[in-house]
Amino acid sequence: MKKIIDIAPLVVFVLLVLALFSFLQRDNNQLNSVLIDKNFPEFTLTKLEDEDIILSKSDISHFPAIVNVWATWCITCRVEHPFLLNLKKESKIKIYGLNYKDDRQKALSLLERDGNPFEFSIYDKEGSLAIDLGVYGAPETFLINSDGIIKTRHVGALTPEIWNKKFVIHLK
Amino acid sequence: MKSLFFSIILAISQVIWSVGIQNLDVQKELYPFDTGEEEIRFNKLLDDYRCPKCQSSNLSGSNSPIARDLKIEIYRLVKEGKKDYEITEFLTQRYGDFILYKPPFQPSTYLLWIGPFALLLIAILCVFLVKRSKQKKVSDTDLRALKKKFKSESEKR
Amino acid sequence: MIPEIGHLLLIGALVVTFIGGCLPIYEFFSKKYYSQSYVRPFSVLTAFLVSGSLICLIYSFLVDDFSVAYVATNSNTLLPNYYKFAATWGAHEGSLVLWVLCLSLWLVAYMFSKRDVNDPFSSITFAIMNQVIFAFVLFTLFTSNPFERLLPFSPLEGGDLNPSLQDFAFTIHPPLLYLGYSGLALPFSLAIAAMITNNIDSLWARNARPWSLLSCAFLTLGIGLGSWWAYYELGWGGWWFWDPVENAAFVPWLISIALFHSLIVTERRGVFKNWSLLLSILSFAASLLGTFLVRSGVLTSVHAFALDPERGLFILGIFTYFVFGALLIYSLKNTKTQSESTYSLTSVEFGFLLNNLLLVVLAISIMFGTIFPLLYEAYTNGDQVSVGPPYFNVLILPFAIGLGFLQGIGLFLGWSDTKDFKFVNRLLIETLTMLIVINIILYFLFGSFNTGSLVACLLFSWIVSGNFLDIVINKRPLNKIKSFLNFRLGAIFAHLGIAFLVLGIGVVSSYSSEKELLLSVGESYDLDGYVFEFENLSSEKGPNYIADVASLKIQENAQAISLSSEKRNYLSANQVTTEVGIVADLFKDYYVALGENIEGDTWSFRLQVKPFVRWIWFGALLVAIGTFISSIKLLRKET
Repeated sequence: MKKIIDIAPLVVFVLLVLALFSFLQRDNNQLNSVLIDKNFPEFTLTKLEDEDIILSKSDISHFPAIVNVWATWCITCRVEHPFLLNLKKESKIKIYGLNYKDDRQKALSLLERDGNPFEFSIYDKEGSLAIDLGVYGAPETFLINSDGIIKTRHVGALTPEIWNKKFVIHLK
Repeated sequence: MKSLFFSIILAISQVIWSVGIQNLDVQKELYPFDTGEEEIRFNKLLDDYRCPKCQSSNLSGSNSPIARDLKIEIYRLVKEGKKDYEITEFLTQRYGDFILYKPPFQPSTYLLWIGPFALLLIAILCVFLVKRSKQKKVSDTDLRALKKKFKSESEKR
Repeated sequence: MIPEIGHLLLIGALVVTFIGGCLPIYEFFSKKYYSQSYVRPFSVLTAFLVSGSLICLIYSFLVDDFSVAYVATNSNTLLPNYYKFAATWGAHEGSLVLWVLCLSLWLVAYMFSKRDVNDPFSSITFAIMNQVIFAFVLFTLFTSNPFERLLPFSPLEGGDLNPSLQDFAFTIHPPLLYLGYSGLALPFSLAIAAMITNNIDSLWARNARPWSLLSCAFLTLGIGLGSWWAYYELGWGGWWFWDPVENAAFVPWLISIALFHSLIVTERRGVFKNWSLLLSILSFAASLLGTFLVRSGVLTSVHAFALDPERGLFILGIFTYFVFGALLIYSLKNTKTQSESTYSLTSVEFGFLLNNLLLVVLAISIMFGTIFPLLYEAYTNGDQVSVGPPYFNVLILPFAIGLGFLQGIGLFLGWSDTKDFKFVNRLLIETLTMLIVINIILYFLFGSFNTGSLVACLLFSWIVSGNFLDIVINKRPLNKIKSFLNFRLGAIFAHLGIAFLVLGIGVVSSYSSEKELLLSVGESYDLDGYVFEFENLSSEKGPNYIADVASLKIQENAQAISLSSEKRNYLSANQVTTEVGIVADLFKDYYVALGENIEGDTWSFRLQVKPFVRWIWFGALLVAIGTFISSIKLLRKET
């Protein structure tokens, strides 16, 4: 009994160090989406390009697709923009935009100036659809597979590495 | 002693004074409520939900855009009469359990919620067991000493 | 030139502590005692080298030497001089040099605290301390060198010190906290020396106790200061958030308290040796673990030093070496030194035992709760959860009640057994009386009676009765009271400090008033009887910022109180901070935080009235004073 009491702290300690070591290997510094394996949420919002057109979930119809959350006030989105334009050129995947808490005119001017990779952009002025998607900033990108199910969400700018690591696998 | 007395007088006069003050228009409140109870509930909810974007802050202590949006959303839900658990469900459906500063009580978190008290009970139990075995050892040694003494005395005779 | 000298001095310290860490161990095991009179000169030399290095770093800040990368990142030409000075320890690299300096100062203090250090016990202590210093200097030089240069193109202007850190409390908070953290290395080293030289006895316990008390005192001040700073700096009126960095300091604090209580028993009765040894190891382990959590980047936090898994790995290595080594020695030590002194369930020994248990289980639970999100994510393969104030506040309550109960009766229990229980009735009467009086006072002060603070008031009354009231009422004549108080002065101060702390927490949690609203210039609002009037908005220019200042007047009966709150725009980093307006009297704080300009002259405000909040830090100060008194008394008796 005595020996057990003396050795026990050592054993507990080793377990702790192993746990801490595993924490250091951890690669994830974003909030994981809880919409994975769910359908895209319902919504009723206007189209960025035409405020008379009301969009809803059924307008996101071509799968597989990505929905990219962007805004003119988002600096990182500028960094990501070329990648999206390239993706539109090189891939069959549809890119839908979610214009997040933005000014309509400014957004349209930006797309005019820098190019428009989106089939269309949803104008989410209040951020209500964003909240339903669990969005907490921009840029964010959701992948919807060919069955219409959300399979992954990335927070931050998309890069070729992240695209290959996180998105491509769901496109089979 | 004097300052205590003074404060008591101050407090009494304050109660009398406040009766005469007009309160300002309720529209000036950022989140106007009809009942004080709703307001208290609202504030408590804001304390217990985590800002998803901030490194470490609750909704009431954060000025980030998402925190403000969520505050407005929760305000709307409280005004609609939604219960606490319904608001919690609304948020966790979108942001996961991460947004709760009070982890849910479920099998995967039993260790967290019950662990400390279980550990305390086990520790107290160990203490009693060790004490009992020590007590027994001492009484055994006493018994042996007594036996020895008895033996040596009987041998003397 | 100066940065290079600073760098060299650190390398010098590395060499000296390497020798100091190895030589005594070698001497002990080869039984060749050269002259142990090198321990004192070596300690002084190490302290000089490290302080010299820190001075070089401070100098670089004061002369705006932006060719030094660390200075460029954390300072700015517009920064006032006293903040340039403090910016030295404002980020990871510089703070490590401060850590190492604290360690060296403790070493010098210990080496000169005793008349004679020419014995194996002292030289092994010296060796282990040197090893700790060596480890941290190595870590600094290899992964976190503050003297790295940005040549050949050094910037003309620096980043800046984070505006929320440009504050007086911040300049002294890290030094105090680090003195506390690093101080725990001493009882740790003493415990190892005791185990290696097989001197696990009252003398060792007597030796170790003042240093654990001192570490606790500094931790108390550091934590209290951090809490106070968060209160007036962060703008939402909170003073504790169970943030990982806060917990990283709170856990060693709890264990150090268990430690010096346990050492009392080991010193007086020769029992609890295993407890005292383990607690000595555990307290320093907690200190190292806290350092790991805060600097490795595994936990996100408001003020974790960001960073770098590579650095985390190094700290993990340091953590493993010292704690595994210590626990190994612990498991191999000679167990025949156990004495069989018995004590009953109503003895003070048993009380201390329960004290140890409660404190250690609480400390472990808080640590577990802090890293739980990481464990959870790994175990569930991706699900994330948060553990915050709602959990920890529930957790601590039963422990606080148990510990508070023990604090009340502690001074009445006897060694081995307690024969006289007459104190129980007296205590109950005194407690009840105090409880009623407090609630009457609260009712008169704040106009209502709140059951939420009942537990806190009860604990307060119980502890004050048992540590002060009963002594004064019951023990006569006056000179007996004086001698009793004198003997236990430190303990009384500390326990009373806890009482005030608990009362402050209870009252501010139940009796506070708060409102978030919009006000235009000239408008007023009545918050539970206190009338706040938004008098005026003006503009002000500071040394490195421009501010919008809102002046308010608060009407409390006939009295008018002025305060102001500002929104500051710091020019260099274009960061906006809120300066809260606080006016305090003996029983409450008025707390106003300016929000946003909604339109025209309408601004959003957060108005609060916080009763008894200052008593929290007043209590913390008393605890620090008490622990200081006890440790100084012990040290005085030695020399």
